[in-house]
Amino acid sequence: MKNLKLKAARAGKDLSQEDLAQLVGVSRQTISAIEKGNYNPSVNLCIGICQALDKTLDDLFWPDN
Amino acid sequence: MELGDLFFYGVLVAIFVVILFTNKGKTKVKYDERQEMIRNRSYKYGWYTVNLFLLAYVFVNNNFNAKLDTNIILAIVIFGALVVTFYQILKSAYFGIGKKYPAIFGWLMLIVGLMNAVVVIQQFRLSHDLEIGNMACSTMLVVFLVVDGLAIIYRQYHDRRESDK
Repeated sequence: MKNLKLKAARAGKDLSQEDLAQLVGVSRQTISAIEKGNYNPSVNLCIGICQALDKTLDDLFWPDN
Repeated sequence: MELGDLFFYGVLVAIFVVILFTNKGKTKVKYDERQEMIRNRSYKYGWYTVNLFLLAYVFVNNNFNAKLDTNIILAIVIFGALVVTFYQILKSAYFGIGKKYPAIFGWLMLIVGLMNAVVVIQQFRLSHDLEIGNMACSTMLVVFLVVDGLAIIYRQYHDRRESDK
C-alpha cells in the first residue's frame, strides 16, 4: 500500500527523496521503497522520518479508516 | 584443474572473505536497514544456488559416469556470486548509503565481458577435443560480467528516472 501521507509531508517541507534520506541516514531508494509501499520500515526509522518531517507516527504511518 | 590447485584457490577465497568481513576501517561501506536485509537475503539465495548446483554436479558425476570437468565447480561458485550481486544491484543494496550507481562500472564490465565473449567463442570454434565443462569457468565469467554490467546500467538509468531531485 502506497504511503501518500509520507510523500505529501515530504513535499510539504520542500524536500526531495535524497534530502530526506540524508536527514534520516538511509539511502534514497529506501525512502522511495517506503513511499511506494514496497518496504515496511522499522519503528526506529519511522521515528527518524517523523522527527525529520515534524510529524507524529499517527500522521504518517497509521492507516486511515 | 588439480585438487591441490582447487585447495589453493579455496584458501585464497577464505582469506579474502575473512579480510572483507573483519574490515573495520574507514573504507567500510555503510548500509541502511533495508539494504542489510536485501544483502542478507541475497547471501541466502547465493548459498542455496551454489549448494543445489554442487549437489547436481556430484549426483551427475557419480551416477551417470559423465566425468565432468572440475572447472564446473568454479563456474558454480561464480554463478552463486552472480546471483548475490545481481539481486543486490537490482534492489539497490550493492553500493552503500549515498553512493550513486556508477554507469562507468557497468559499461566497463559490459565491454570487458563482450571482449571475453569473443575469446571464449573463438576457443569453442578452434578446440576440437572439448570435454563437458572445459570452458564452463570462462563462459560463466562472461555471463557474470555482462549480466552485472547490464544490471548496473539499468539501475543507474532507473534511479535517474525515479529521483525527484
